Amino acid sequence: MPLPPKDIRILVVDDMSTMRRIIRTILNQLGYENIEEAENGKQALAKLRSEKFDFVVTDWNMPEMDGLTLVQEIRKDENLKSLPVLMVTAEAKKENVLMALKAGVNNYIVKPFTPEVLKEKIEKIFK
Amino acid sequence: MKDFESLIKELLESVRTLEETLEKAKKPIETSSQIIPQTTENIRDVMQFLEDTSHNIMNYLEEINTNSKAIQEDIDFLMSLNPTQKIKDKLVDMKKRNDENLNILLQLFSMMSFHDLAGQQLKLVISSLESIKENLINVIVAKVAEEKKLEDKEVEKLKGKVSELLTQDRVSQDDVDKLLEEYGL
Repeated sequence: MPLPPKDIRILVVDDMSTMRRIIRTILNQLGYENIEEAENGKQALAKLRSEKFDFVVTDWNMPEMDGLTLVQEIRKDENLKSLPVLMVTAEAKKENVLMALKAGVNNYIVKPFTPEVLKEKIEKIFK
Repeated sequence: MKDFESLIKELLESVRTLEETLEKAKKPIETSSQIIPQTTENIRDVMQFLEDTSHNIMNYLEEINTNSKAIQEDIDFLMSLNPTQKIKDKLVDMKKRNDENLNILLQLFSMMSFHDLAGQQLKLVISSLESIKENLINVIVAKVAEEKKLEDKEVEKLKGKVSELLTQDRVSQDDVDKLLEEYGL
């Protein structure tokens, strides 16, 4: 049985503070209250290895470590490999989507997105 | 005697070539040393302005959101008092409109991602400028190195100096002239 939204701990990874705030607000409105933030893949990976999260929403283009590398690192890590990851990015080319799927993302959203799309993708992941 | 004459001619020709090189190299360094860093700086300012403004707009949106939620609670409270049908109908209508407002607010919030998309495009412009700068450095250095028959070590030094000039925020004419002088231009 899936966890209720308020019990799901989410990590939002984006180098743009505005994007983190947008995603956090939308998630809050959808009932997800337990949200943490990271500014890049490196910071996210450190948080994921030291704290427990149920779900990751990540951007692609970030300094230090991009979202694609983050997904690859998550899938390589014995303790994290089954963690659901949603990529929210401006990379809209078909090859990018395929590359992300190959790396192991569970779903993919192209920016700009609507709250409905985010809701739908999260629900799909937790089904 | 004739050999001496051709030697002078050759020397004059070299001086002329050198003068031409000076003119050609001076202009791109002068122009680019000011335009490229200035443009990059301006784009960074625009990005910062966009970010600050986006946060300000989101602050207001959050305030409206908080107020709408308070209105929602007030309506629920009034409904719980078993008002007359007429008042009840009005409250239902108010609740519906308030819900619509909350939904619009959420849409507006997600539209704020325009800042992120614009920022990414501006980052591409900055990266293109960086690449133009790099090419320009190579062209200038190659030209000077060829004319002055510089050794590899000197070429690297010159590359570093030109790059330094093009990276600084504001470069004075003195800096440019000093560099050109160092290489006999």
